[in-house]
Amino acid sequence: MANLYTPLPYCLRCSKKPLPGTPAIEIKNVSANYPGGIRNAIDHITFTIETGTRVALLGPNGSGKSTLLKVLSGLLPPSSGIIKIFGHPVGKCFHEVNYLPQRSEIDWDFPISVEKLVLTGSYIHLGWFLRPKKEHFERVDGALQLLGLNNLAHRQIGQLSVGQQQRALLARALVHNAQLYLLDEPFNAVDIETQIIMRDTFDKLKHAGKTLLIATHEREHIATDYDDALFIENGKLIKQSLSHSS
Amino acid sequence: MIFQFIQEPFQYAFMQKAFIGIILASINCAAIGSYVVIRRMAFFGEALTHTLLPGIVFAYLRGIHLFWGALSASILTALGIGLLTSHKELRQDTAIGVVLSLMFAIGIMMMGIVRSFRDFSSILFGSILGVTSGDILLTGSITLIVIFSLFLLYKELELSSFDYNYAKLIRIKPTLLRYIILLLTALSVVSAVQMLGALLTTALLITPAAAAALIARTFFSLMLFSIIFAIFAGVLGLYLSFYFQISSGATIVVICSTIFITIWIFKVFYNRWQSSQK
Repeated sequence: MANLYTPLPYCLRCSKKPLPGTPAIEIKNVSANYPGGIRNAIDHITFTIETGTRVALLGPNGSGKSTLLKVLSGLLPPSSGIIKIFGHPVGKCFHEVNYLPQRSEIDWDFPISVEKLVLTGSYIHLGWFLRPKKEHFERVDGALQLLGLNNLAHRQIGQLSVGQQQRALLARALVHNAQLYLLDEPFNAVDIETQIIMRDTFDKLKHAGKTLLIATHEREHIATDYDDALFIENGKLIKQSLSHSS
Repeated sequence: MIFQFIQEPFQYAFMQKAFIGIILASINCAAIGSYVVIRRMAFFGEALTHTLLPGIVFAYLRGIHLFWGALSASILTALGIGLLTSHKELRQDTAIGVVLSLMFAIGIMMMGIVRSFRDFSSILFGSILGVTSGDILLTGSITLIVIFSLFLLYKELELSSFDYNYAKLIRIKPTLLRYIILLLTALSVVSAVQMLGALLTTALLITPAAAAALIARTFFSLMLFSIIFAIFAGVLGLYLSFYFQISSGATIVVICSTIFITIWIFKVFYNRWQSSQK
């Protein structure tokens, strides 16, 4: 199996490397809104996440967790505030950031196999026009094996269960091989087997020095699985602490 | 007997040109139609064929080849719809509805100036007799542009078709790709207008791809099936039109639709049979 955590050479566009000694995420007074939105989806949020840590992002539905992850990944521009990812403005280090969306953001009826979906994680290493090579396919095999999907490699993505689809997205994230993973509710509606496999994979990523920010509703594993937790409500950061109590 | 049936239309120069033209137009429309169907842009394809009208009338009034008028109008439509929907204040179907009715209304107003409907009937309803060597050259050039673009951008177009956000995240520029698809669709539609007519070209764009989507397991096979169905319908349609003296455009559309309905019925029964086996 190919080593999933050894960096592949990036395409020429991906020139910004993480600045040594800088936090993975540093944001100050960041607000953001969707086009046509009446109020800020996230409002004057400030926090820092150190490199190599695993942090939970907690809050009720509609509190702004997904918006925050989209802003950090560069998918949604902030309306105000400063964001630094590994010391660079958001978007300058985009090859080192992977955003794992909620399942609903992907067209699961599209005619594509699991292997091909996971292979799209290698596109960041290729740039325009170039086709994946043998080494990229080897990484896909490794990721599929790690997430228990190797028997489903040639199945269409629409034929997978919810948990298998979530694992396929995580396999793609592994092939992307970023330094920062922004995961939007990966445990949502998935089976126990998937939860165990994903937790194990997150452990491996953390041991490989990756930074993980995981939006989740599950509070029972916070103390054991995470280094820190961010609590947001109505778009505002109400606490940055592992403790549940206010 | 069969050999004679196959060979006879080729004795006429206009039929030779029609066969070459319809095969090239089928490749263009079916290949780009796969993206149109999979990205749920069928209404856009329908709109494009109607919005050609003002371009055609304008070209007629200025004494330019109607092809260039149709091409300009379709590119203008593609860019107009792309621009109106790029900021997300407007849904795509709403933008298409607005542009379609505006362009069609302008076309009808311009036709009032010309005071002749007959001059545009070959463009509106198609005519295989009107295919010239120049048309084939233009259609062939469009085929090269469409196939080369789709080959070069295959992985980028595929990814942005099912996961817009990831494509955006890794700087694949999905909005730019959407404009490319809109422009290639405009080119493909214009390439088929001479054969099928503006009002029936949608069928070559949508129906073969819709039939292929019912059976394809990969996007590449969807595109391949779509092209095969379109060429089959185009060639068979021309034969039937030649032997039975019926409209070639309408015949091709009926064959496309028959292929779709046959596959759809097969798929429904196959799915029921599969469910009963579980």
